[in-house]
Amino acid sequence: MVATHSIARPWQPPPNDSAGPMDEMKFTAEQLPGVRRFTEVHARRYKVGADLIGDLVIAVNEIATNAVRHGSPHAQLRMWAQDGCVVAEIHDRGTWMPSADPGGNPPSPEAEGGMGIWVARQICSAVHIRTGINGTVVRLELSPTARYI
Amino acid sequence: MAALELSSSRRGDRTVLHINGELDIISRAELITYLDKIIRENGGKIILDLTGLDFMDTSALSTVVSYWKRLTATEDGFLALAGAKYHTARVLWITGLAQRLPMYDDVAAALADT
Repeated sequence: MVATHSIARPWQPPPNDSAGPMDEMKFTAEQLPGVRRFTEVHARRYKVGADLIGDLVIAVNEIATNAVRHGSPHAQLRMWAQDGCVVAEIHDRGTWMPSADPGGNPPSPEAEGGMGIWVARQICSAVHIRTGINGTVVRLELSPTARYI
Repeated sequence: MAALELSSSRRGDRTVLHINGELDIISRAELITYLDKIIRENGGKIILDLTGLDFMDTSALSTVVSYWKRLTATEDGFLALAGAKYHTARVLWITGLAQRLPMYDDVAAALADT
């Protein structure tokens, strides 16, 4: 079973070696600080502006947190630059059955959780979710002009 | 593990909890333990000093919201935030909760108003 959501552009495979560098790290919940450093360092390398780096760190951290909290204890982050966007893909081995529009509605003012995907959607220019028997892949795309304000 | 340092100081019947470092899904457990302890020992008038905060995720924000609701529901309890800055606590603004939670520029302003 495959489900995709919020397709702003066709889902393309990650680049292979000939297309450009791709950076990746494996992580657990204890390594989330490392995920944030990794995101920051690589976003800077891809020439993302300082304030947008802070946004991207928030978005990646939220999805990475969901991955190790709800998906599988070990997850993976991959980042690359593509068509002027920074792409961050988080892969876990869980089997998630998302609602029709995960994170589509803002959290209620009384919300005490479940804000992660919604927050990522506010920050990113596109959020793709692909679920299946091999796990869940969430792809975040941030264009240099993305801004939720 | 996220580096997190917590310390507190009593100001009359209020307790200022200084949060230094990163608050995420793992380190927020330390915040919960510490908050429970100072509420038990000092009472429910709490000011969170976020001046030294480096990072906050939505799970930590949820924890703050949950204590805010719990404490404001008591007779004389409250929870206020002091010194939150956009670049380290941007989830407050992204979620719109910065408009709902009591926020002060710094601890002195929070103490003067509570």
